[in-house]
Amino acid sequence: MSEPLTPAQRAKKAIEFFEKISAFEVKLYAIGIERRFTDPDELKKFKKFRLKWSFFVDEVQIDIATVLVDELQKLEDPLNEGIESLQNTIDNLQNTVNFLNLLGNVLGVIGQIVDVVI
Amino acid sequence: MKHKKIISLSLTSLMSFSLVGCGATLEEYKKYAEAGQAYSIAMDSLFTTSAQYFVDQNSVTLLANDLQEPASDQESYENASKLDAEWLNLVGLMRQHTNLLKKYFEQLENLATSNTPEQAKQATEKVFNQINSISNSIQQSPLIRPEAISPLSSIPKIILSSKIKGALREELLSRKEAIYRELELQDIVIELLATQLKKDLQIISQYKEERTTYNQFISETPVSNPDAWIIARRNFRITDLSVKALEDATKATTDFKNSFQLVLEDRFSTARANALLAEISYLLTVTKELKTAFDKPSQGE
Repeated sequence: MSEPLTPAQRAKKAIEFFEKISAFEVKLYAIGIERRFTDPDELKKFKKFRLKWSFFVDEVQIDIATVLVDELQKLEDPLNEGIESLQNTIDNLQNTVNFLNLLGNVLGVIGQIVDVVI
Repeated sequence: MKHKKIISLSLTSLMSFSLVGCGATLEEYKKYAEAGQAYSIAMDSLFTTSAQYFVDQNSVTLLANDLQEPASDQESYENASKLDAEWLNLVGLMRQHTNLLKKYFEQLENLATSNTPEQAKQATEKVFNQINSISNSIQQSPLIRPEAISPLSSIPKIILSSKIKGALREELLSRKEAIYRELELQDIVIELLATQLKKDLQIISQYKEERTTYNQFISETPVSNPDAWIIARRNFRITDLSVKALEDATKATTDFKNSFQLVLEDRFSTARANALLAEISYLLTVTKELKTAFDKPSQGE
């Protein structure tokens, strides 16, 4: 028995389906297609079918995106934590920079003394 | 003077060491953070382009399938407007989330370059407030369906380079999978957007071409302004090139995801960083071109 798909894997498979129905939708709007229907009733029927198809494609797209947005939303906590953690690191780094600046100043003075002595 | 130079160089090396443990990776690390921000901007541009063409294509759908039956047409119009609203809402949520990712990469870059942590801290607090507000609105959205937390089965094992040390190491150790997963999802999102944009552009282009250059040409009278007709027809054909360019440009998202792993494993070279930045820049250029693809009025419109 195969393992259940993750939402991301499901979305990926759904996109393959979306690609197929999108490609067919483009064909339904091909230049000159309506001229092939000489009977007005048949043309009307075709338009009704085409409209339905287009809305169906939209709905599939929205369904896939809804799953993806849901998945992205789950990652907001780690992202927030990451931003906070990085900020703390920057603050700690500032201490290091202060320390290094101080050290640099001291070493600069020592350097001048060395220059004078030598 | 010589001593001062040596001391100054030593201090710079020491500061780089405190970030990543070795100055050699600092530049690549900074460039990746830069690429992260550029990537988020490109994604945002794609979202707005997607919103624009989703609505435009629904307008074409309505016009092309106008049955001239008031009751039925009214229902179609309302349905299209409902779908527009749903998509625009989702695009809004995706844009907000991508903006959050951008903030994360801004912090990564700050870490590599900042000497004004107080300003960075104030900016971060502002970001936190915005994020809280966005999170609340996402949770209230009726479109979000509760889903079980998925296992991170598809994530490759990332071995963090020993050169990355200290707080940064702790940060990346605890969140590298989450960030990778984020980039993986973004990769899928862009695949969805590319497919949508491709078919929307084709349908809009076909519809406009049929109403203008095609009808003028097949009519019993000759084309009244051949020069304008040639330009109009060329513009329709060029749209196909933009669609093809988008397919190529979206490869940047996969490379961006793969580069994240390379950065952490200390296998991300400056050449690779520059190539990645160029790819993301290309994605942004293509998106901008697509956004204005139909801005020029076609002959006969």
